[in-house]
Amino acid sequence: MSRDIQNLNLLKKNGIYSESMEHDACGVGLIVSTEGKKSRKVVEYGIQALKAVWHRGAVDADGKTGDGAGIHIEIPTNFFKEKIENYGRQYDGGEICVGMIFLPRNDYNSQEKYKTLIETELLKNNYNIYRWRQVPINTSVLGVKAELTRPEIVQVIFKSNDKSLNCKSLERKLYETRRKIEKQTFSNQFNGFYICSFSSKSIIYKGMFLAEALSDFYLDLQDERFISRYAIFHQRFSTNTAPSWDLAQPFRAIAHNGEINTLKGNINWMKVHEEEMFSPIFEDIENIKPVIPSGNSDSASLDNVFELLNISGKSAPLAKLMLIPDAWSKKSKILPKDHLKLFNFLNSTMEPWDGPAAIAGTDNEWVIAANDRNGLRPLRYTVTRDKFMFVGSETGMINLNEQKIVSKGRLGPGDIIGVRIEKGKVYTNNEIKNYLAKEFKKFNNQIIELDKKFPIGNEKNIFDGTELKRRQHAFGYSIEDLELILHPMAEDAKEATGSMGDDTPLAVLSDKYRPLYHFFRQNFSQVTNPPIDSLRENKVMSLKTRFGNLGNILNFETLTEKSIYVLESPILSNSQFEKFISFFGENNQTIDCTFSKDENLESAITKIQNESEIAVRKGVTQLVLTDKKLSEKRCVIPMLLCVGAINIHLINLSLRGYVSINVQTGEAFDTHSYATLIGVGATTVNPYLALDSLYQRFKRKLFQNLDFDECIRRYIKSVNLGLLKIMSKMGISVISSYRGGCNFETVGLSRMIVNEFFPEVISKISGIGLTGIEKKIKNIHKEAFETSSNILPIGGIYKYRKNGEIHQYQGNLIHLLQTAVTNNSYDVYKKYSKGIYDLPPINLRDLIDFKKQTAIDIKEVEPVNEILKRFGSGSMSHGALSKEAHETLAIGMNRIKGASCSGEGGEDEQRFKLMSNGDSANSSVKQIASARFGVTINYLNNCNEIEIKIAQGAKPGEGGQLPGFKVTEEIARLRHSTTGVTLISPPPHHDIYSIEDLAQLIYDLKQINPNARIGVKLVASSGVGTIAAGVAKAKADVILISGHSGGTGATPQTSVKYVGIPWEMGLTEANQVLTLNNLRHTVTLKTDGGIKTGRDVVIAAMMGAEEYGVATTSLVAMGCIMVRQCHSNTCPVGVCTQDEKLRKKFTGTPDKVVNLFTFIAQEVREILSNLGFRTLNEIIGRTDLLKQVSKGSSNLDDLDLNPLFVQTDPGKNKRYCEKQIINEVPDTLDQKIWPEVEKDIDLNKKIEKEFKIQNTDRAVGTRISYQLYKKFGINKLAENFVSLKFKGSAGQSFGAFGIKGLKLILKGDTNDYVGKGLSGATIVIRLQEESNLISNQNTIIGNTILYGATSGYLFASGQAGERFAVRNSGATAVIEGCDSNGCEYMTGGNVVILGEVGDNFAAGMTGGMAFLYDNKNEFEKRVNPESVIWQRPETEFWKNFLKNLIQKHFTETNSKIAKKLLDNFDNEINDFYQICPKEMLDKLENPISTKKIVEIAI
Amino acid sequence: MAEKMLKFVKIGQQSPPKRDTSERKEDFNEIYKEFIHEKALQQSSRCSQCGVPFCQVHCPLSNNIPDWLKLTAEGRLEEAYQLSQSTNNMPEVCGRICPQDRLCEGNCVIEQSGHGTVTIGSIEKFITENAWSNDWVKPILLKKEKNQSVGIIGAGPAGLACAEQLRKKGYQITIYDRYDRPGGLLIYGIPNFKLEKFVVERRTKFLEESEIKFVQNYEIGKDSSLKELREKHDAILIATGVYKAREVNIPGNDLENIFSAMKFLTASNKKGLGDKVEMFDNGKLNTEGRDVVVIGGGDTAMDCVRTSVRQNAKSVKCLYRRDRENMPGSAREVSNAEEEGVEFIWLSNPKEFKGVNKVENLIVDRMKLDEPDESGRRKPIVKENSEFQLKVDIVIKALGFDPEELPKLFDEDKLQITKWGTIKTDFDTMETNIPDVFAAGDIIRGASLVVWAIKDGRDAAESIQRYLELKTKQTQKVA
Repeated sequence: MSRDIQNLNLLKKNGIYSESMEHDACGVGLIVSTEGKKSRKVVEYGIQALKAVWHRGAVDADGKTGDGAGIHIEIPTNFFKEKIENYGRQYDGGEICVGMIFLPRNDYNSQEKYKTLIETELLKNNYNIYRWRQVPINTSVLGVKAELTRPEIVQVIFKSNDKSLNCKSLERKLYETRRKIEKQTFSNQFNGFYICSFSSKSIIYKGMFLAEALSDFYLDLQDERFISRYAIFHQRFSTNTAPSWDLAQPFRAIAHNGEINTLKGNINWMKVHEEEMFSPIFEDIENIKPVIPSGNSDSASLDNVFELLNISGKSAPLAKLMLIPDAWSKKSKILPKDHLKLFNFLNSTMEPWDGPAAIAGTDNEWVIAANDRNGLRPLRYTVTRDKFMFVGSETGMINLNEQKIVSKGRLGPGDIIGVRIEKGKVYTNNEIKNYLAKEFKKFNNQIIELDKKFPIGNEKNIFDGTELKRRQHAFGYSIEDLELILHPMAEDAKEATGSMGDDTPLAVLSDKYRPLYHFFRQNFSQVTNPPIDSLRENKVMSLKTRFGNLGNILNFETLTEKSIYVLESPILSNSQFEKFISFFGENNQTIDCTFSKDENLESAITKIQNESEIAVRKGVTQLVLTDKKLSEKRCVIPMLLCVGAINIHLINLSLRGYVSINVQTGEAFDTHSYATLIGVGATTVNPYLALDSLYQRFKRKLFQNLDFDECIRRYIKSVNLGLLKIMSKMGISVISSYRGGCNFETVGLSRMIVNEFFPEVISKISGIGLTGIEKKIKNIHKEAFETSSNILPIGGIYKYRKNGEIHQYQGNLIHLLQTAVTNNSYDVYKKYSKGIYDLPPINLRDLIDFKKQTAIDIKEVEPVNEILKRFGSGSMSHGALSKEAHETLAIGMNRIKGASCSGEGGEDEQRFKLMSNGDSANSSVKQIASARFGVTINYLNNCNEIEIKIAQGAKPGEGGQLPGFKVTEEIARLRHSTTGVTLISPPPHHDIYSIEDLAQLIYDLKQINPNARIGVKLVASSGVGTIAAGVAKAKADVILISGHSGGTGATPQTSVKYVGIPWEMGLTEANQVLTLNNLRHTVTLKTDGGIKTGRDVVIAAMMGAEEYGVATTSLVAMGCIMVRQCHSNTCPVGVCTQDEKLRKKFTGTPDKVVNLFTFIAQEVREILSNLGFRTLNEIIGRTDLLKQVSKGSSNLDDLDLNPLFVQTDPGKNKRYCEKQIINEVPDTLDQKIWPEVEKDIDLNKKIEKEFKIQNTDRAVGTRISYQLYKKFGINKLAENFVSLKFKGSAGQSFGAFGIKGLKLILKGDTNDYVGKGLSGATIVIRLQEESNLISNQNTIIGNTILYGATSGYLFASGQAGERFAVRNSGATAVIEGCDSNGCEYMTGGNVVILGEVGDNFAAGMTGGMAFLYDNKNEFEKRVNPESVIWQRPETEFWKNFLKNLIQKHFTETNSKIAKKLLDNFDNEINDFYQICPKEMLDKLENPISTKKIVEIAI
Repeated sequence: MAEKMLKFVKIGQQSPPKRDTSERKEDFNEIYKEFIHEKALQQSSRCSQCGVPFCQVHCPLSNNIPDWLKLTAEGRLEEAYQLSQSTNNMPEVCGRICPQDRLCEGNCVIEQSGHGTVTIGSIEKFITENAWSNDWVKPILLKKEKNQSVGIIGAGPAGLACAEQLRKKGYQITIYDRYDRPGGLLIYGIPNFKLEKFVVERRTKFLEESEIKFVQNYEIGKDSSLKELREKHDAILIATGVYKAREVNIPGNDLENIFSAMKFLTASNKKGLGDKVEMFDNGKLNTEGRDVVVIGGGDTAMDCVRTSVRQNAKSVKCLYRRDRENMPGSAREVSNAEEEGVEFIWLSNPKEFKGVNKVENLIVDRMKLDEPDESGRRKPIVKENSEFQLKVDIVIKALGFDPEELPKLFDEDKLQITKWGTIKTDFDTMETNIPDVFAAGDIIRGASLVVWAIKDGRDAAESIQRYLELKTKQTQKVA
């Protein structure tokens, strides 16, 4: 243990690890009496439910230490009464207050100190203490780690002497008292002290045991006197294994399953809100500040604010709507008007706490469960006849008699369900919002929409000619920026696309001028929360920008004294900006953000900070930061620095809330520059120079017929889209929470700058400081004003130019490498390798060298063959690459026994067989990415590793799109789609919204192929270490850390540049944190992203990787010459194109691939021998063999690479994974079923069996499919050859990857992911005979059903949750209703829905067909019209088709609604819609209309 | 009509049409017609806009080729011109005479992958000609002239480029040149059918209008010493080029009617400019009706054979000791010459000139290629007993040029030279060992391409500027 703690401290000290990087996800839920009656049953159900979500948590290696679990219930008066009296005290009948407290266990002095502190505080505040009680516990259920960190658990039992307090005011006082106690403990830096609950109403029991051990550990809970009206429970799965008892949930107000993506912004804005917070109900408002104690987890922080709102009188449903509001827009067709008004008002009070969230909570009046705006966490509920309501992450957590069930449902996006316990009544989502809407009607008039007052129009430029050119130059614009980046934004209203990776230096390493925002890298989400598709799920996104005073959130009456101004977007055109200034008149103050050439930058910054402060103190509400005064004599202060400096200065002085920071700058022109400005605190941005540059182009008639206003509109639209994209990358959907959130990390910006001006920005590697920046500004300023040339610098950031930024792939090096592999010349390779090394520094590793060691004879070093096995060729899909290139690469890699990866495009089954010459073009790694193209049971069983691509180095957090023209017949076949029809890859995996979801997918994949290693591909970012730890705990076998420089076939240009960090940083962190958590030896660590030489490989090994991917360089070996036009389908050398003519130009051979890798391996051997090591294993993780060297310009000496070299002690374990292991996961029900099936197998006889099932039985049918596949292969079995019947609630992934020939019939209901990747099986889910539910009004299956299914059937007599049939490419399904985003991204198959659908139906649906029964005329409001058309079924063919499916549905499920429809089909058909993708209309074998296609298409 | 890029997949390669051989043999005018406007735009749009533009990588001037191709394709011809001229002082010259097949076009990615190169040279020419005719080429207008002056020796491409660059920066420039017209090889070395003389004259006129002083017929060492020149100017650039013809030392070398290429070409060019040239007018240097043999395989040899064709020689043969693949000259020029009727005798080497007084016959050895030498080229060796005889009236030796003996010529024995006779300069600064004196072009690198001379001239200008700025600072300090 001491080793663990030493490791932890080491990592913390070096800034590699902090608790704020930890993520968790969980099972959450509640049981409540709907009639408001206390009972023992509620408590027992709570305990029971926790036992049924164990699989959503994680277990430490000791098998007992969980990540935490707990329960929140009411205080059992009788129980405590006895405890008081037993102690010889008199109970006087008043409210018993109980504080549940953790104290440091082994430090008696501290314990005494804390107790004294609490007692003093209680006495001071007029309480009377009954006694202290040591809570009885059973430590035998604890794991080693949990026991070692176990606190002393005590209760303080007391009462208030003030009889005048009613229950609400008593709770308020208790809250204030608790905050006072907490404040003292924080300020005295006490450790190990934590108050779980401190209330007269409720109590929380929680800890670091497995969920099922709750009542075994806390003996109290077994006491029959423990009764309650509600029980809120929580089970945690955390990415970290540094156990911490206080992180267990529930918290005092809520239990939270989710991830707050906007946490940093929220915490900052909460500080701002505190400035104006006031309420007479508290003794002293300062007692409760800071509302969020520093260092709190995201869930705990949310709880802090939630609790404050409750305590200050806002009901739990209202607090939920303030903090986790619905997605809404005035354009919404489905939201009632009064709800819109409510949301609009609440929007002006708080910034949303955005991110996936399922919460269960109580304010002691309401008990609610609720979901986030996007519905990213499952919540299912059941209401019973005996007056209980159960809500939880899964259905079936408690065994209930089906007959007793009144309704079963799920919470959709933004939904709340609640019970008002005093009243004993259930409130539905609508009822709650109606109720609140009534209350806040009057507050709407103060909201003034500025867009209406000054729309874009009559746009004018400010500068032109030489004046313009000098400014462009001084701000660092290049010709490339104008042509490649700026122009398309105005012409096409979106960012330009580019391809391949980034091989230019990190901004800090460059000797060219790089604007400050180049040092900032966008954060993105991976694994623990999903990025959002800002295009297809645009409805949840918002750029609404609010101005004016942030009022007192504790009192709405004062909040709305003044007008609140809003804008639809934070970007202002020149004309808007002018009107904006005059609108605010005297309330403006302009701050000149330039400084004289003889001034220094530091004092200039201090000056503008002071000016701003004085302005705010004078009462100015709008600061206008401008760099327009740039002139020959005055240089600009980087605007990013100005905003950061002023924002933080005002926050520190508690003045930020009184003012908006508006920016008029020449610095902003690409989307990233806007994101950084807003991200560090700017309210609005007027990019005058970008707009003037557009004007210049407009004058030159480069925009064809567009008028200038339209150019500006388009440009701003593309900026808006870009901002949405950047926010959605990290799962943030509202800009008000993104603003000031500093969701970036910097590489190579000095720690001083970051600490002083951007304190929330992550900065692990310190570098250039203010002096360095000042020098660069002055240099470019001089250049700009002294040059006689009328031409801007050429650029070269995106594409190589000889006089521009340096690139690692240089013409001559490409030639050398290609010559080397063609002629099999190691000597020429060495020239290439030396050439790479001799370049000026581009990567961090270029500043790193090996410490000198004693060499050994190269003969002693392991042979090339051994090293070759560790190489991979990246994960490029057939679709990105041409068939020839993809197969050549695979053959080459198979020859060296390395790994090639299919990429996300599926793979031709022909390639699974050996070729006649003994070669194999089968990719040994099969990828499973968000689009799940061609992921069939056959695909998954022809590999030895399955790689789950969470993110991609070139564009983490983003999806992709394969335009129709690239979808050839061949590609369409592999991807199970239609030739010529666009294919969309969603940003997230829709079955991975959290770490436990990833664990589930890994589990599913281990069921379908127990012999393959499961890998998870992550992209380097700070915090990737904790994510890797979580992934390892989710039982992955391989973790791949990709660097930011990885390639892509197509992505917006700026994405390649400003997201992700070098693998050197990500890899070392992952290695360090995995070692810290004793997990390193259980996973293989891989890295890739720009590895080019043997030297790169050895450095990667020393940094902890044991396998290495070389992708772009292997393409270069096959003939790629970095044309960077992969996205255009015009690759002149046939590597990255589907054009048959161009593919003929391909000159790559497997030999070239073999040669490349052999050379690299040979070079590795030489380095090993020089360093005196015999095998790669000996150096893995040995960062002590590396040192930073001085190379390149002297300003690089400021760089501090030490965090890369920090070494954690692995103890007895190895620093690497000894063999390619396959981590085991628990058995499923299938392991019991299969022997039963197997013994009866006879090809001539169908098999039928029946079993009981519960929610903990996951992926049922999957391992059986594997067994059937092994025995019979694919497509060999008759339909329904094996029929398995089940009764109960099935766990997640029911029937995942089910094979043709298997039929699963379930009576009951299921959780999420039914029929994931369905490969031909039939799944039937129907009500139990005894059920009284009406099938099309109740939920029977969960979220994300049939994700990536390729064939097979699903019949379910009930409603489904979110994202039904998402990315379905071939399965046929009939269900009876579904929630939002149904049929999203569908590319094939057929879906019939006999009931209501949620919002955003058919978003991004480019293939397949859907039918919808819509007798309430709701459908047209809910469909996303972007890619589909809809009409009543017209042709006989399709009418019959539909009827047959409904008939089949009826036969399988006995559905009443199906019966009703069939009985009167000729009439009912008129209430059906047929929904067909536009792109499919001219490609259908059976047209949907007798009319001409053209007419329909319009 | 603006074109989108990457059209090579749809549009085939097209050069501006060459004039018919029968027609072009009749005069000395350039053989390529002008691109018409649309064609130029269309052909530019074939560019693949590469991530690593090998055209630029292999351009000595690092011209931003993909960028001005894009501008051209989009019809933004003035911007294209501005960009093109920002890295090249005479793009219309390079567009005409650069061996593009060995530089930009030869390395063009779509050429390498078999789609046919973008016709970069002719587009470059088009852009600049278009700029001239639209009057976009404006003389340098200085707001303020600096009081420092630079003397440049030699009005060839290196000298001219350096002069223009320094003039832009405000320096006073005087160019001293020993010929009667400025332009150096451009005016007298390169025949009209490759580079019509109005092109060169237009350039020099532009420089004169930019107030650069030209002093013609002025020989250093004769009209003034280098030292005197140094006293007049703050810095000097030597850009004299290399003019000493390489000899072929075989028996019969002293017979009449054996000429150096330079002599032959100068005479022809002067005639073209309307001068009286005695040697030509008396028939000595006129190949009309005669059997001509040109010895050599470089671009100069090509100029000679093609000039002879135009002078109506009876027959024109070219002897070269290696084969077609291994010749230094531009392949395009060879095929142009072949089209025009020149006979190439590959793998052949003169052994002896025969004749009474003047040359009548040429004994030639057949050669074969041996293993590659250290430069990677295969070394020719004589094939035993393979000699044959050619009847000949005029022999033109185009075996390359060596530097003249400048220290002697300039009467400045301190001027250091290399073992090859070129001026020794500092690799980075292009300074000679004599203070204030710089050198550029062929005189430092040996006979080379015009484009390299321009590059040297530009580099020298930068270096001289740095030098002069430093000088100013130092004098200010002293004062």
